[in-house]
Amino acid sequence: MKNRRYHLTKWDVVLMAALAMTSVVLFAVVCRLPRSPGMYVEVSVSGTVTQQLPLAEDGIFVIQGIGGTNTLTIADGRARITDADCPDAVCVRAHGIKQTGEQIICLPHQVICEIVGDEPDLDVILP
Amino acid sequence: MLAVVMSSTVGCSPTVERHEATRLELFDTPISVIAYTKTKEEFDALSHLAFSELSRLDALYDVYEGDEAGNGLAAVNAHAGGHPVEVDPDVMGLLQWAKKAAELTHGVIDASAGQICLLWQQARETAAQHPERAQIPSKAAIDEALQHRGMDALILDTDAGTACLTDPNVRLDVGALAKGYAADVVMERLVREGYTDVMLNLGGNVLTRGQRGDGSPWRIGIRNPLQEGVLAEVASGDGSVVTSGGYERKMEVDGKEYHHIIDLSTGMPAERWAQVSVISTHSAEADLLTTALFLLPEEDGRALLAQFDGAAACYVRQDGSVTRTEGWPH
Repeated sequence: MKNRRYHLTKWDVVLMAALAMTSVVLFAVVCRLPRSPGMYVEVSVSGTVTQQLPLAEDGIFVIQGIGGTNTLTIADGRARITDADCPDAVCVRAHGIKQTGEQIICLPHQVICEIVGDEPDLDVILP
Repeated sequence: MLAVVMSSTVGCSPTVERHEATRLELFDTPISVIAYTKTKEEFDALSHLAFSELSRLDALYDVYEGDEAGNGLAAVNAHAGGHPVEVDPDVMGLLQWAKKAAELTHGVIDASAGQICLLWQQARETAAQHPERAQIPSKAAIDEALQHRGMDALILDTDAGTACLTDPNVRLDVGALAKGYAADVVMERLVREGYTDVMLNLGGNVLTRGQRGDGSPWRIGIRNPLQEGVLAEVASGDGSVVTSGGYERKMEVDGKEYHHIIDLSTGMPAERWAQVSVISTHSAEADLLTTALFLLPEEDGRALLAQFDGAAACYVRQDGSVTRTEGWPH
C-alpha cells in the first residue's frame, strides 16, 4: 500500500485555532483570571472585608473600626497605621508591612490590615 | 489537540483549596485557622469545630473574666483558701502541665504567680484608659505580690477531678502556657475528626499538621522584632513554631515600654532578649520553651531546650544579632 503523506489543510488550521481558543477561554473561566497584577492592602473590620487598597498608590485612609478609627497610610510601597484612638496603640507602634501575608491588627477596633495579591510564599508571618 | 484542551481545563481545578478564618475575641489575641479542604463546606465544618473548642477552652482558662462559679480556673482562684473545686478535664490537664512546667524550669515559669500578673495587668489597663496617669507598679506592691506564689499551694486530685489552692492569697495565671496547650488539644480533636492538613495560629503560637495543597510543607515566617522584614522562615509538617513577644500587651511610661513577660526574680519585664522563637513537636512545649528561654540566660535556656527532643530556638538580642541552636533548620 502506498503511504499517504498527511499534510495540513486550511480546515485543519481553522480547527486547531478554534480548539486553542476554546482551551484559553475555558482556562480563564475555570481558573478565574486574576485582576490586574499587584499587591493590595486588604482592610477588614470584624471579619468583613471593607476595602482593598493598591499598595502602589500612596494615600491616607481613615478606617472606621468598632468603637473607634485607625488611620492607614500607604507610602513607598508599604502600609502603616499612623494614628488610632484605640486604648493601647499597638497598631501604631507596629512596623510597616509590604509582603504578602503580613498583617497589622488593631484588636480593640477589630481591624485587620493584610497584604494580599501575589501567591503567598509564606502561610503565616509571626507574630 | 483534544488532550491539550482537556488537560488545560483539568489542570486548573485543584483537588483541595486553601481556606482561612480569623477570630479576634478569643484568648485576647487574633486566632486563625487555615486548612486545605476539598470544599468550602468541609472547611466551614472544620473551622466551626476549631473555634467552638477554642471558645470553650478560652472560657475555662480565663482568670480575668471567667465564671467564678464554674469549673474553670476563675473558680479555682475564687475558692483559694477554701474547698477544692471540681474542674473540667482540660483544666486538670493544663494544671498538671503547669506543675510539670514549674519543675522543669525551676520556677521560672510559675502558673501560681497570678498576683504579679494581675498587678501588671491592672497597670496596663490604667495606662490604656488614662495615659496621663500611666505608671508602673511600685516596688512595694511588686514585692508584696511576689510573696504570694508557689505551686505547692496547688493540690490536684485526679481521682476526684478537683483542684484546690490552699493559700487564699495565691492566684493562678496560665498566660505562659495556655495558648500552646489549647492548640494541642484543639488539633487533637480536629485530627480525630479526620482533618489532615491544618494550621492553627493563636497570636504567634502556630501548630501545623500535614501539608499545603501542593504537597509542600507549611511555611512560617518570623518577623524581625527590631525592624521591618522577615527574619527567618521555617518549613513545618507536624510541628509547632512559637515566638515570644507576640501580639504584645505593652504599656508606655515616660517614653519607656514595658511588656508583659515578667521575670519573677525581679517582678519586672525581662529585658535580656528582643525575641525568642522555638520549634518543637508540640505546641505546649514550644509555648513553654519560648517564654522560659525569653527569661533565661542563654546557657540555662539551652540546657532546658536539650531536654526536649526535636526542639530548637532562634534568639534575637537587643542589638539585633541572632543566634540559632543546632536543631534550627537552615
